[in-house]
Amino acid sequence: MASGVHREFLLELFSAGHDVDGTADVIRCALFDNDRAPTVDDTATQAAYNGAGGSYLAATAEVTDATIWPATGIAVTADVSVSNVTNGIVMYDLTADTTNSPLTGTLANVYYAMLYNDTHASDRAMSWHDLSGPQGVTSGTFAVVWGTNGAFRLDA
Amino acid sequence: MTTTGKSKVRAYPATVVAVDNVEPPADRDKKAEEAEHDG
Repeated sequence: MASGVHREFLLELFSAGHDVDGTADVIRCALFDNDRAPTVDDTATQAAYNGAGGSYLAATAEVTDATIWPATGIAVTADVSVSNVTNGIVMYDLTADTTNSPLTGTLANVYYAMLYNDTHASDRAMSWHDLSGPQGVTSGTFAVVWGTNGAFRLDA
Repeated sequence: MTTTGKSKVRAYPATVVAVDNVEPPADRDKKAEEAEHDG
């Protein structure tokens, strides 16, 4: 699946494990290569930033640049103003595209942007988003542009 | 309970805007300063 929401994250929503609709919990966006494709059914251990056996290993899979996309990613903010949509849809969107522009740097082999809850004890991965990789930049700026449908939706 | 058969959770792909070879701010400022002196 090119993009998805981790089941473990959804499960924890039922037990108040996350407060991700505003500024209470720190949500970050990190970049990863295609060493391993994430799946919705990744285990609790795998569906976490730097989780063993998962797709988000900091040492081997994360793509970083000291300036424009530091290790552990860039903090993002949920846009609660548009989170509730009509027709039974709840949308999780962000206030802005994710970038450190105008800072410049070099990135290579970027395939996925992953959102995770940095406040959660296990740094729970929430969702991953296909970037049609490989993507990169040389001595330039890099932005992840979220679509009009937001990052993800729950459709009742 | 209403069963519609279409309930789902879906994540959406994102796109990337990458701009290569952006002039470092320091160089840009230096050039602007030089241009000012030249002018």
